[in-house]
Amino acid sequence: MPNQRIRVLLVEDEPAFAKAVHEILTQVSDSQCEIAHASQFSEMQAMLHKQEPDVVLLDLSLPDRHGVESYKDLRTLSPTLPIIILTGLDDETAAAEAVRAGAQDYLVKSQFDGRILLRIMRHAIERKRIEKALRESEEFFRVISENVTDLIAVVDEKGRRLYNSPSYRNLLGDPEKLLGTDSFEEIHPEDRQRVKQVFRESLATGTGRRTEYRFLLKDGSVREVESQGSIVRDEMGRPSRLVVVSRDITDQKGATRALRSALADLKASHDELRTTQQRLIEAERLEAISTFAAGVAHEVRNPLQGITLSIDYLSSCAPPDDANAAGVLERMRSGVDRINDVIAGLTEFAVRREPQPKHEDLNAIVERALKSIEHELKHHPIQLQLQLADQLPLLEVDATSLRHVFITLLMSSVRAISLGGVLSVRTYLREAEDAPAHEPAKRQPPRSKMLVGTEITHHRNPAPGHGDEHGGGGRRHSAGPKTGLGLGILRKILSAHRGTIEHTKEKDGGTRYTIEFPLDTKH
Amino acid sequence: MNQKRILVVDDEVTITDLLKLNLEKTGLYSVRTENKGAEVLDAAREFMPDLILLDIMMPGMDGGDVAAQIKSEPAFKRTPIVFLTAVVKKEEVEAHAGVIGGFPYIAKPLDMKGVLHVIEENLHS
Repeated sequence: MPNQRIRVLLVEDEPAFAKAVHEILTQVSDSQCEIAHASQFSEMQAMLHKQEPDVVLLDLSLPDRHGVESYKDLRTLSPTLPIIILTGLDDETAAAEAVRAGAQDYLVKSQFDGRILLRIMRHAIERKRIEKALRESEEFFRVISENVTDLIAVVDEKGRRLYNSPSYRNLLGDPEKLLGTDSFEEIHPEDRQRVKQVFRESLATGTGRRTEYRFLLKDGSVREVESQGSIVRDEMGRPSRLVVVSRDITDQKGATRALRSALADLKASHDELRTTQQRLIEAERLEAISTFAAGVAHEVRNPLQGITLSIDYLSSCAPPDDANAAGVLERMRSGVDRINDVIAGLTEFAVRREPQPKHEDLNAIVERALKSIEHELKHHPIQLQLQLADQLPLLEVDATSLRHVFITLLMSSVRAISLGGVLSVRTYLREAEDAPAHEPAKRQPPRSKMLVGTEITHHRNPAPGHGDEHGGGGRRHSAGPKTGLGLGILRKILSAHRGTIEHTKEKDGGTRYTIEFPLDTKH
Repeated sequence: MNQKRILVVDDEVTITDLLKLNLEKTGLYSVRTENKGAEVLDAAREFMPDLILLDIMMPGMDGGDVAAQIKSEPAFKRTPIVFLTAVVKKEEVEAHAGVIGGFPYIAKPLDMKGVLHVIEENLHS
């Protein structure tokens, strides 16, 4: 701006001096100075707004204001205006005082020189402009730093604090008081060495790093912080300062921890639930076995009773002098007694449960039975093919004992194909082929006999060396000993629900159990 | 010797047959067997037993009902009826004082010694 026009406001009560200044300035500045003149402080006030001067030349001995006060009042009126003091030899002290208070410079009137004055004015204006720019940039920076929630700090190469943003107040107190203090002091002792190491490495490599650590505050509380450092280099290009931008992540960490712990809790309860479920399934299987055992006990009881009575009869027939016959019969009796004890034990073990026939969905019973053997299916190479018929009519059955029958059959199938195979379970509704046609139509209302059924079929995967063991050709076996299943027992349980069970060997080597229940639909 | 007439009712043919064999072997009794609960009353009217052994649990027929039916006939008012039951265990016999619903009973499994003892006891009471 050296050749820009300068608007000068000259405040001088001595007309002669004012005139001299005007002339000299016009001369040395090659008429670049636009000079206004006020001879009193009050006059100057009015002109400040009119002229908007770049610089004020202020005499300290005005008629209506005197000494350093006139400077101070002007400064108050216009804080950013460059002010140069004009003073006589006798009042240099006041001029110096004004400079200390912020005036740009002073000139002793008797040592007046036009060039010097011009230069002083230009410097003063320039300095003020820089000051203003600086202030504005400081203001800009202050606005930012006061409004960020992040923690911004500048530390020197020893880790001493050069600047802390106002956001530090909540954490470490008044940021002004932190100036020059050791920035590692409030770091948690357990983290301090590590953070120092990161600091040293950042300076050494010239690359700031991200790190997490804790502050241990004076009140004993702990805050978790995440910091990113950036290196600032000096004029020689050496890392000299570190700008550290940090965030308080205590709450976030707490939330993460809470979430993690909630997840752990959830997993624990899930595991517990699964264990419980497993136990329930096992309990149910045990119950199925006990139902079966009760069936066994019941079935064995009558033949055994026959044996006991037979032994009694034979005892009464045996010749009294045949000690051997008596001994043999006695052994038989004690054998039967032992079996009776076992049967009594089985009955004891079996939970006595009154059947509770209700309207039940066969599909639901089948699905629940499958649930009980789910574990077995998972742990054997068995493929389950489930085909449940839509909208099966409800059956009036005791779901529990029926489920136990299914579990027994399914477990038997799983055992048969535990080395690999296919287990097919199917439910269906069909019309009975063998509807009793001979029933006198007059006495009974006409009825079409429908059957609701379940088929459980298993096929063993072909294994080397295993042919079709039984060579079965659709043969039907009526009862149990061959199957090792006690099919008779199951038949007995099912008969309580008017159900039937058939055991079929398929042509392709599979084994099928067919359970059917009649469904009376009266028209 | 005047044989006592005993009607044995149980749905299991094996059991009624063997009871008949055993009882008649003693020479003290004449036995008729019946396996259907519904036929018991007719059988009793025909046979006029001195004592009835009656299975308490028969399919489709409650032994208690059968007993009540028989007792409702004046001809059998004084005829002892003895239940055969598997419901009560031998150890519980004492607790029940040998009586269910006012009737004496024999707990299954049956052995002839016990059966004979209870029959004799009730024939002469």
